[in-house]
Amino acid sequence: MKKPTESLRNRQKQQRREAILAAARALVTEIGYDAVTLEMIAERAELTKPTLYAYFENRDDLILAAYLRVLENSATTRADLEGISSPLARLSIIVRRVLEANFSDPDSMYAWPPNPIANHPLFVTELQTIRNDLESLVRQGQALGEIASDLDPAVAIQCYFSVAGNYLTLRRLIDGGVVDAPTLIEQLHRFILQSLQPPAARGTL
Amino acid sequence: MSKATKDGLRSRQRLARESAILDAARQILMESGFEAMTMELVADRAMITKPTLYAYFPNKLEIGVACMVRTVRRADGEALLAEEGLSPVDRWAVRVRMRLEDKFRSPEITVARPDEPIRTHPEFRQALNELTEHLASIVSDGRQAGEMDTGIASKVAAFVFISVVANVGFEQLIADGRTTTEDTLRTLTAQLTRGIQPRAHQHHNEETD
Repeated sequence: MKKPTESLRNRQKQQRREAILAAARALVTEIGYDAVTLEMIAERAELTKPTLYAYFENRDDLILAAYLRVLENSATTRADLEGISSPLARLSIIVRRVLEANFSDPDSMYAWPPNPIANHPLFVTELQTIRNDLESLVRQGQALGEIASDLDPAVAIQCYFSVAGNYLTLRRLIDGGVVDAPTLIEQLHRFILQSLQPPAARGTL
Repeated sequence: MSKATKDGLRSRQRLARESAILDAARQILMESGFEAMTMELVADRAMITKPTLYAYFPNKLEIGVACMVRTVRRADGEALLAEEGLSPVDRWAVRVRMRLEDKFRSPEITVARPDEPIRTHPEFRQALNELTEHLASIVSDGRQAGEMDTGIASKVAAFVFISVVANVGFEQLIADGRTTTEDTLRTLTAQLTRGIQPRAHQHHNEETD
């Protein structure tokens, strides 16, 4: 009986951590980095301040963790990629994962991190690692003819970032009733994948 | 000098000064954001006195909005002329090329996503809506003509276009020497046109597993 209980507790702990990080991102987006306090995050996540301290040492660490968590969604090392060898198929899974994290849950809203986070050495290093991994997937796809050879990998990945990360603007399409969240995710995914593929592979017109 | 010539000169001077004010404001917005911007800072940067600045703009919000509206509307007239008589796909391609050339060849005009009071200002929203509607109408025509992917809503395509153009990460990549202006232009033009063209068949079946 000991093991299942432990794993249940771990899962609860994990969920609570996610809730704290989501609350922090939402608050930073709404009122700005400087204005967010630990009290506000606790209140938003419906937890007490002491509970927050069980997870994070201080406010700055917590907010940094909240944005590092977002980068994790783009990681090329996750279990869902196991056994997938095609670089384009791997990118497809990563893009879908990121779009779903960004657009399916209205509470998970966040914008590009504020400067204190964006310039933080840990964030900069982590972002660079992810960029390098994704660019290397693009290069592998180009070598196999799955991805258009005339694209600059660094620009192609930034193009994907600019779309998948433009949460606040694209969100207006959902709020304005133009499309629902699953449709938006589907269509952005379609655009990003098609924008990477060579024209010949798509047999245009 | 005739009165008409003098008036013409004066209005040209006025436009030039207004443009210099917006250039100054743009630099401040990019460096320190809207909150930190003040009328003093703008006047200093534009090398004019504060009273002169007030003769052009009543407050910093109006400056910020004018600055962003200028960015959104830039190259519109030229693009409209160039689009005349073309098929939807070519009209889209013209828009993409002109916007991107403007963005990367005139970096002094690019402004990052605006801060809150500007972002929700009716004048800025209207400029953005006009651009969105125009882009969406091109895609809508293209879908009807079978030239563009019916799997992507025309407004979604328009928002994707705007998301790419508004992103300043590309300028950062160029500044960091990770790519060149030419490679960025070529790649984004290809991506923004291919991304909304119909695909005949799926080549990556693993993705649906």
